[in-house]
Amino acid sequence: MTSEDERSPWRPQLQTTLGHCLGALALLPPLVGQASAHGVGPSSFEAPLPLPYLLVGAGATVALTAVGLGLLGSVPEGSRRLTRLDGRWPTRGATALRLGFLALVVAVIVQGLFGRQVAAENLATVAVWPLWIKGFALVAVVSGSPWRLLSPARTLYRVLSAVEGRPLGARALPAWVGSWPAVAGFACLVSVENLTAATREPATTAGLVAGYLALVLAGGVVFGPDWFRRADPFEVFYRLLGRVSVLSIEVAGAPAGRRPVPECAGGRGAGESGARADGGLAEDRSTSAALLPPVRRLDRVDIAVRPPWRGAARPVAGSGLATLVVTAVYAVSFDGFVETPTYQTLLFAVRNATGLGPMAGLVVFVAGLVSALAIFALIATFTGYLAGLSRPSLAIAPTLVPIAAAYEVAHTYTYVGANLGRLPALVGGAVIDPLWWLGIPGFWASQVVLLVAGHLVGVLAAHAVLSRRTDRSGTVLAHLPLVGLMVGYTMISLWIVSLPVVG
Amino acid sequence: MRIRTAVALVVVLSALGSATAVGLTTSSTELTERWISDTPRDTRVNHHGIGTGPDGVVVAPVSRVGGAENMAPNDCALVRLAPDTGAVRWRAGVAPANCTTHALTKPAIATADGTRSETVFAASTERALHAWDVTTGQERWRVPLSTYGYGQPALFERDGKAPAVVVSDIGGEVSFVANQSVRWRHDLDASTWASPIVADVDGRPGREILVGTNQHTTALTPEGEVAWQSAGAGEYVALGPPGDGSRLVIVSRTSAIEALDGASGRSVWTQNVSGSAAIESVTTDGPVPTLYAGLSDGRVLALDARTGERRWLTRLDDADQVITPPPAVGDLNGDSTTQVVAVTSTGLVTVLDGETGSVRASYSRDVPIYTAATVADVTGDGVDELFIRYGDGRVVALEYR
Repeated sequence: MTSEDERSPWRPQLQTTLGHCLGALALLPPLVGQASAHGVGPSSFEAPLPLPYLLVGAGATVALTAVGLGLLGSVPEGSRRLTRLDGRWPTRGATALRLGFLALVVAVIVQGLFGRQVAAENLATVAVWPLWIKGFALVAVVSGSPWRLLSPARTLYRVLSAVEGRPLGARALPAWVGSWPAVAGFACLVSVENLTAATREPATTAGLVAGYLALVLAGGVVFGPDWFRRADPFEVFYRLLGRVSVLSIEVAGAPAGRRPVPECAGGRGAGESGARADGGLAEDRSTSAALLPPVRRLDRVDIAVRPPWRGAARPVAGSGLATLVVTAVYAVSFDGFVETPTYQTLLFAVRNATGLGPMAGLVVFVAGLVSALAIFALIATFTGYLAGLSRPSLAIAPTLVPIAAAYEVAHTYTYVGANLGRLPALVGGAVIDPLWWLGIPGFWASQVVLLVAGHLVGVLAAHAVLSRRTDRSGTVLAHLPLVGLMVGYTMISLWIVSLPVVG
Repeated sequence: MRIRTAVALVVVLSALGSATAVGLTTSSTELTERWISDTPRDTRVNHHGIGTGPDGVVVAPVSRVGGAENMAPNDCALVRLAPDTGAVRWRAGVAPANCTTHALTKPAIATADGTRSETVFAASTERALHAWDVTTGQERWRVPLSTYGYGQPALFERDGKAPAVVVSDIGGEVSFVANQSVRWRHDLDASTWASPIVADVDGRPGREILVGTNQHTTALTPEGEVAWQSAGAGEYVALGPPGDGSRLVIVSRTSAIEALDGASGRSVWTQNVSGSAAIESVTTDGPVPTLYAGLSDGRVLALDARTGERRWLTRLDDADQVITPPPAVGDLNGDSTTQVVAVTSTGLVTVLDGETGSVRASYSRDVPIYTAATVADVTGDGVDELFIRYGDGRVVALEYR
C-alpha cells in the first residue's frame, strides 16, 4: 500500500486506519518465530500471547474498524487497470484450457474407476477434492471464478451445440427456481465431504463426478446457459467467492444485450452479465467462439485491481444465494470445528442423548446449519429494520462472503499445496513439498491474519451497503448488529483454528 | 434437436450414467462402527493398545496426562469392555499419583484351558506387574519392577501349570514371573518399547524370549541367559517365517528393517527405509510370507519376509507428520483371506488387501491414533473383530463387511 500513488482508489485516511490494524497483525509472524521444517516440527506450540488476549484483540480490531468507518464516512470502490491484452490470445488460451480440463476430468473418471484404489495415489482423489474443489476456490478468491471458463459441463454443452448448429436449451428456467438447485448441490457437496468416506475412495469420487456432470449437462441441454449460471453449485459458489478477488478481468468486444437472468437480476451488479466478467477469468459468450460459430472474437481484455469489498457490497438477487453464502461460511467453519476436542465432546453428548450412533454427526451438522441460518436471518432483519432495507438478507449476505473466502483460504491452502506437490508422484516423479518453509507457528499466524483480514473486509462491505441507505449516524446504528456478529465470529473463528495447534 | 445431436447426447449421458453407477457401487465393502466406548479422557495421546482374550474379553488401558488437575482414582485405569456394546464391565485404577500417559501397558490375557479367559496382566507406573481377575477386576497379586513397563507382557505357557509372565520395563530390565514370584531378572540396560516375544526361533527344543531395545535385539533362554544378541537396535520385533531349521526374527529401527537368523542372530537381509518402520505382523498363509511395516511418512510397506524384497507400497495419508503404527492382520470378514489393518495418527483406519495393498475400506475420526489396531476373534465365531485405540481414551469397535 505504501507504493500506491495518487491514482489509487484507496483514500489515504482509510489506508491509515486499516494500516494500523493490519500492521499490528503483520507483526504476528515474526513474533511467533521462524518456521520450523515442514513435517518435522512440533504439532503444537506456545502462542506469542495468551489465546484470550488474541481473541479479544482481534475482536476489538474489527469493532474499532467499524467505529473508524463510521467517523470517516464512505468507503472507496473504484478500480484501476493494470494491463490490456489483445483478445486473440485469451480466446485461443481459453479454448485450450477448456478442452484440457475436460480431458483431465475424463482421466479422473477413468482412473478413479479402474486405477489402484488408494486415495493418496489415485488421480481422482488427489485432483478432485483438494485441487478442483478447494483449489479453484482459492483461485476464485485471488483472481475470480475460473469455472465459467473451465466447467466441463459447459464444454460438453458447447460441443453438443456445435453439433446441433445452434445453442441448445430453448426452455426458460422458471424464475421461481432461482439458484436453489445450486444450493441443494452445495449442501450435498459439503455433507459428502464432511460426513462420508467419499474423499478417500477413488471409485466413489469418480462416480460422483460423473453423476454431477450428467445432471448439469442434462439441465443445460434443456434450459440452456441459465442452468449453468444458476444450478451448477461450483459455478455459483466460485462466482460468489470471486466477488472478493482483487483482480477484475474486463472483456471488450463481446455481444451486448443478453437475456435477463431472473435469479441474478442484479445484472452487472451481481456479476452475472454484461461485458465485464466480474470476478471471472473470461466472459461467457466471447470465449465460446472457438466452438460455436458465428461469434464475434474478443477485441481486448483488461485486467484491473479493485478493493476486495466492492463485490461484497453488491446485493445478491435471491434468497437462494443468500442461503448459499451462509451455508458456505458455516461449512468451512464446521470443517475446522470437527478437528477440535470440543467437537468430540459435543458429538458424544448428542450421541449419548439421542442414541443415534454415527448419525449424530449429521444431526450436529444440520442443527448447526439451521442455527447459523436463523442467526443470520435475525441479524439481517434487525439490520434491515434499522437501515430501512426492504430485503435485507439479499444486501447483507454478500458482506459475509469475505469471511467465507478468508476461512476457505486459511483452512485449505496447505491442503491444496500439499496435493499440488503430489501430482508429480502420480506420473512417476518425486513428491514436492511447496510449503516446506512453513512451520506450525507460521501456518497458525497466517490463519490469524487471513481471518481477521476477512472480517475487516466484511465490515467495510457492510459499511458500504448501509451508507448508501442511511446518513452517517444512521449507518453507525444500523451497523451495530452486524458488527456484533462480525466480532463474535472473528473470535469463534480464531478459537477454532487455534485449538488444534496452540498449546 | 437433430438426430446426430440426440445420438451424441445419449452416448455422453449413457457413459456418464454408467460411470456413476460403477463408481457408486464399486466400494461394496465398508468399515462401520459397532460401538464406541464411553471412556473419554481430556487428552489425545492415549497410545497403549487393547488386550483381548477368548470368550469375549476386551480390556483397554485408559489414561490422562500426568500432572493434570483433579486426578481421580480411575482416571488412569484398566477398563474391561463388553464385546458387543462397549459398556464398561469393570475398572482397575492406578493411584492418582502415578497416573500418567504411560500408566498401564497393553494387557495380556491368560486363559485357564485355552478357551476361557482367567487373568489379566499389565505393568504400571506403580512400578509393578499386576494380575487382575478377568471377571471381577480385583487385583490378585503384583510383583515389583524397577520402573514402569511400556510393552505388553508376554505369556510363557507351561504344560499343566499357569503360564509364566515375561515383562520388560522401559529401562530394559526383563523379569520372568512364575507362580506369583520373580524367577529371574536380566538387565539389558537400554530403552525397551517393544513387547517381549516368546517362541522357538532357533529350531532346537525349547523356546526363547526375544527382547528388542534401542541398542540390540536379544534372545534369552527360559533361564534368563543370553542365547544371542544382535548388533543393531530392534525398536520393533516380529516373528518371521520358518527358515532352514530356525525361524527368522525381523526387527526394525530408524532407516532399516532387518531379518535375523533365529539360531544365531546374524543378519539375513536388510531393507533400508526412509524414516522409521513399525512392524508387528507377518503372514504366512499366502503364496509369499509377507511382513507389513508402517512407515513414518504415512505409508505401509509390504516385504517378502524371506528375502526382504518389496511387494507393494501404499500411501495411506498425505498429511504432514503422519505416524503409522504397526499394521495388524486378520480375517475380518470370514472369507479365509488376510486383510491388513493400518492406522495413522490422523485418525484414519484402513483395511488393505494383503496381496496388492489396495484400499478396501476406511474409517476415520478427527482424533489421533498412535498404536496398532487390535485384531482378534473374541467371540469365537471364526471371524476376527477389530478394535481401535483412539488418543482421546475411547475405543472403537469396527465391523468390516
